[in-house]
Amino acid sequence: MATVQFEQITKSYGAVEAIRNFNLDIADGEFCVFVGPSGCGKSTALKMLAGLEATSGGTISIGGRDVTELGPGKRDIAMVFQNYALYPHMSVRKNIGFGLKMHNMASSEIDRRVEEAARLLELTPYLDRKPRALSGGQRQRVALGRAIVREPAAFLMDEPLSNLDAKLRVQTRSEIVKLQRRLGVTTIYVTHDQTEALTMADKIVVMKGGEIQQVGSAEELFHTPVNVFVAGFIGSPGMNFFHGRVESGARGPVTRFGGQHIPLPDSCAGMSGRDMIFGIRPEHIRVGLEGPDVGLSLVENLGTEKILHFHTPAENVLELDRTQLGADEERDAQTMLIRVIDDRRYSEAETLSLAFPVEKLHVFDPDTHAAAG
Amino acid sequence: MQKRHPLATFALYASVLVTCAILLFPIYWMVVTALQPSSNLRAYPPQFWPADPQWNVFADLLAKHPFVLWFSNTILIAFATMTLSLAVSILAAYALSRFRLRGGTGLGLFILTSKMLPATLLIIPLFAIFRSTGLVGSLWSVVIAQATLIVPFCTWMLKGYFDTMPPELEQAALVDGCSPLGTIFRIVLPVAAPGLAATALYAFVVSWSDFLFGRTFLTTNDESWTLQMGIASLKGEFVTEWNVIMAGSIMASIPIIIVYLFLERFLVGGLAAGSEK
Amino acid sequence: MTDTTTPHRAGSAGGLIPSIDFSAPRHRAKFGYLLLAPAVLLMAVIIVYPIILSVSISMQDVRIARIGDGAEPWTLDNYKWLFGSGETWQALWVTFKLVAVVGGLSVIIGFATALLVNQKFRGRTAARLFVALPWAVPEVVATVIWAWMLDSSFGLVNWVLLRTGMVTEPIAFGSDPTAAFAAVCFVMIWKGYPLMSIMLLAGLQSIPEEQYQAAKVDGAGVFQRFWYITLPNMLPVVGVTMVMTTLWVFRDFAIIHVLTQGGPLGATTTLSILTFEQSFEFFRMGQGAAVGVLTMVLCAIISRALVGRLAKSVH
Repeated sequence: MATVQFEQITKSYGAVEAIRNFNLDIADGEFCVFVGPSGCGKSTALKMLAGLEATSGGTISIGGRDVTELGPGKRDIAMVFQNYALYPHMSVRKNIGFGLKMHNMASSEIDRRVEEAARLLELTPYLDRKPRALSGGQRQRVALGRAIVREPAAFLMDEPLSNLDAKLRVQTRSEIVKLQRRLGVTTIYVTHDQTEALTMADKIVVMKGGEIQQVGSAEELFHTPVNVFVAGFIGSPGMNFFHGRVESGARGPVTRFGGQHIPLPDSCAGMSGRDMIFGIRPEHIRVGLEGPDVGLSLVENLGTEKILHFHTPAENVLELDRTQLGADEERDAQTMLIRVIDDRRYSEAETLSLAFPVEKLHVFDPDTHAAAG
Repeated sequence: MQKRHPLATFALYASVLVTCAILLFPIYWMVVTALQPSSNLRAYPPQFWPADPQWNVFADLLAKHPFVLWFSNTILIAFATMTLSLAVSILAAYALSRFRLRGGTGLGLFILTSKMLPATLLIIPLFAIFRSTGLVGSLWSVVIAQATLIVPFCTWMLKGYFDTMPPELEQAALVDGCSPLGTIFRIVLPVAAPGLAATALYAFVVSWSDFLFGRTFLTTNDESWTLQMGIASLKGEFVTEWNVIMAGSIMASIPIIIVYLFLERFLVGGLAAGSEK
Repeated sequence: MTDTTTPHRAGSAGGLIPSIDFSAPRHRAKFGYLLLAPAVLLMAVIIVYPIILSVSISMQDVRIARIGDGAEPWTLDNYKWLFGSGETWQALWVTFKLVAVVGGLSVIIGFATALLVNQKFRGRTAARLFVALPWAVPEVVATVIWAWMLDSSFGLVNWVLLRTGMVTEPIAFGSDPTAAFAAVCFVMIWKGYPLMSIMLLAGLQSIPEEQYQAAKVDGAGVFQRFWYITLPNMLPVVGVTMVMTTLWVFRDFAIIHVLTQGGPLGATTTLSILTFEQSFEFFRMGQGAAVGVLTMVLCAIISRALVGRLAKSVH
């Protein structure tokens, strides 16, 4: 068990900088998730921590020890891979015990630890099978077993759930969290799935384009995102954005949305006359009150909840692509979403009045995309 | 799937049988000829079935010709070539497959093109080199010369095989505390065993079948003759004893036909992959 | 006992270069170079150096080459002979004829065989095994079998031809130039078609079944499916196999040397045979090397076509 530190880590491939200015402190026993879209550098960061990729600059320490120049086997870490990387020619028992054998542990002690790990993961009946005779979920548990049996200073997990089907993924998610709480081993977990990040992590590191965007708890990322990207990336669906000019109204600052005034937080009072980016989460938009009218373009009924789509008024559309908005493939800047949980029936082409609660409105600088006010 | 018309089924089986019969007839004829009494060989019409198989033709072969010597020379060369080429190829193929090395692509292309070099060109400078080093007439000359063909081919074939293995296996082993060299021996080679077997046998077959290098470097030393040289020399003799030649041919083909029958699947897969990549 | 343990330690790279830990991220690439080193050295010594040496031999008046005999003066005489003598042009012509006949016929036989064993029937695995069997027969063995079958006095082929009335006199495969050329073709096709059919079969199996089903739904018959689906899909594979067969015919030595020794009257002397003949029968290694260099250049051009095609298929 140990702390993990990244100090000024950079990684470049020739002229291309894959990771810039990467600084991070992970506390002892913490569950830390690196999350971001593909190509954001999260896997590279993990591989550098594992010693599988060389750093181009900076220091990595585990438990206060500088490991930057050490090989993967000397860092006292264990790793779970996306494809599990089980040794196909070894039995489950040999797979789990391989790391201990490589560290010259006595075979009686190896046996004891392997049996114990197998019991914990309910793998005892399969110990003498080869990996190919196991189901996907069992293979995944063997990969976990191979990690925990080592009792390392840190667990490194690279998208360990993405090869499982949806139901098993949710189940295994909570099992991994329980296991980690029980063992108390510092864990660094990489995923592209923000739901996984929110549900599992003590500390979430949102990355984009090789840089850390924000570090914080699920709470913090959800309620106080530091920029447009984090706001759009976190949440399902992510935040809606629109564009508008701050004006002074009778009761404080306002902006126009679809021709109607909507009130803005007091912090915008000093921004009068400036164009800003505004954000509101789909679940925070209120329906059926006084406010701008919009026509629904699509209603998605998900059972308990419904997602209502409407076109962003033309003058409010942001000129940004979805990678800058942190949005997934189904989103674009022309559409805004409302998430409602009620029994009302909504129909496409229906007109609704909306309200944007002022305390839920986020304001971002149009040039830096950083949260303002 | 729809049922095939009975007539179509018959036509299919008939054409498969006829095709196999025509294509394999020379092999059948080799066996029949070997077992005929020599008087029957000049008979008209030819005997298509050895009514009175003469098994002592093999004894004749061993008595009249240094067949055992040729056989053991060939085996020695084939094993030495296989071992040497594979040892070098495995390491190189692994490096080319797993490391992004400066010059790696260039080397890969060089290997790919050198598979296509005419061996008749190489034997001239190799002969010069072997003459200066005193290797002409030594089995080693053929082992080294064969490596010029086999190392590039095996490296390419193995690289294709390693490319299909997930690199995470070795990464996991490194994290588990295995050394890079240990990773090759404990993880990569056992997992790649089928590919290694196919490549090794390919090397064995190519080496076993060689004629050009033996003919060029070993002719002057009777003690170093290989099977293929021996059989070719029997054909050139004044009185051609076809039954003895065919007996020798059977003995020279059996080892690799067995290899082929057992490992056709791997070989075919490896060859197809090696040639299309 | 202490001494016998040393080989173990010497086997690990750490024993040789104690200061470098190759598992460390910064040194891992060095490990790659270390693995590559034996192959690079070996190929430099047994391929690159010999190629340079043979180019140099081709530009000297060398009878029996030996390194360190003191270099002969540089001369282009061998190349003058190469392009001035009828032998080279005849060998080129023979080589191209052989490439055309062997390449053409073995692709047809190979394709037909591949199509046949690609059908679903009982015993298909065995049939596939058997049709490719000649590939495993050593070239010398294949050649002596055919030499016996084509024997001008007692050979089976002549008996069949006489018996069926196709000829009135036995064909002298050994002394008639056309017949000798045909004999070489027989052996080469028999030895060469299996690899062709193996690779074409692999190609056939990689055509997605959906394409055939879609064509069936559209009402395409057997021949239309062959023409519009099988053939276009197979063209790249056919191209690759043709190039490979061409290279093989260009370079092959054993079959012709054992069957006809390039005769009669040079009717079966290819560039490879000419190289060998000049170098090791007439001991004019300078001229032999010149023929070899020409063969290498031609092979390089042909394989360039292959490599270019491969590079395209990779992207």
